[in-house]
Amino acid sequence: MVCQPEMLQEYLDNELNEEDKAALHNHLSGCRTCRQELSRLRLMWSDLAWVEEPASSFAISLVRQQAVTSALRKQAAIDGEAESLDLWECQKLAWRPLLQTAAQMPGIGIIGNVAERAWDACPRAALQAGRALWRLYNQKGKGGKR
Amino acid sequence: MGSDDRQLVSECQAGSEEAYRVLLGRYEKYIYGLCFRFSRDPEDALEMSQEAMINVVPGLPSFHNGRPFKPWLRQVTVNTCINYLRCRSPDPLSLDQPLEGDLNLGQMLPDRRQDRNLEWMETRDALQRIMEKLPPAYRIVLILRHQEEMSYQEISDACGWPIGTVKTNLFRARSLLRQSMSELYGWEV
Repeated sequence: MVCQPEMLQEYLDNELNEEDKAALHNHLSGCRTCRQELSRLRLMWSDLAWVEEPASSFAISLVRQQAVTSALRKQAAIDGEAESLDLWECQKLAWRPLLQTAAQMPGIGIIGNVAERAWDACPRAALQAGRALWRLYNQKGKGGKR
Repeated sequence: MGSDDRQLVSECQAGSEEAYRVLLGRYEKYIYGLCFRFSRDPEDALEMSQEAMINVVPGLPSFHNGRPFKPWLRQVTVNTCINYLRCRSPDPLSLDQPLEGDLNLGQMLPDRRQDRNLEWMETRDALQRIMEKLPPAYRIVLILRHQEEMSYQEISDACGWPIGTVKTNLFRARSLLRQSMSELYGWEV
């Protein structure tokens, strides 16, 4: 086995399988350079494991409060939408049998036609009434100025 | 996971706002510390912490309460940090790109002419200083491996990188550190 620096790192990371580990041990017993390199890496490993604690920030508690509040509000809004959707679906399901029964009643189609004509007629009538009121108002206004 | 954590997680899952506050209050320093180690900037660390905590809330209802809470929280925090760095990093060594070629070591090292105190610093402090200058992809794997003690597979899962990329990044990052630290450690290069 030739010197493999990557393998030394994997060994220290405890990521080598048993076979590779045995091969490396065998290599180390006869390779002074790799033994020296391994001891250097061990020193660096211990320094790398040191966890630096940042200066405590008072703002982190405030950030936590804000994060929880905003996330829960957002979650509640999403749940609210889901609930209203569910309610609508329930309403549709509850009314479906009644609507299906009503659809079988004789002469039910006439109601649709009547409703359609009424719907067409209503805006026209409302428009005419509006115009009449506007004319009346203008006439009164002109009369007042005079 | 402590029984207190389990109880608090149950209360959170039942919708208690106070339980969220207490549970996250228990880990806020840990979250902030982890974010700080990734970002090396107090303001960025606060912003990342806030995002991580916001991400905990919608994820917690589907969390299996028999599992330890802290590793799950770490996973959420690490994902948040990686996304944050991915969006912010102007570094051409993108987190998604394989790292190729030799990096210029001179750019990684603090300038000794400007920082004469470096040689008097503790080696671990110097190591932290040099880590700050590493590209995010290198810093992330070093933190996750050495400080969070995650395996290659866990890092691969957390970062969404192939395990080969994790190994390569770790190897190159350490090789850079090793070169940079040789003088401080008193090693012959």
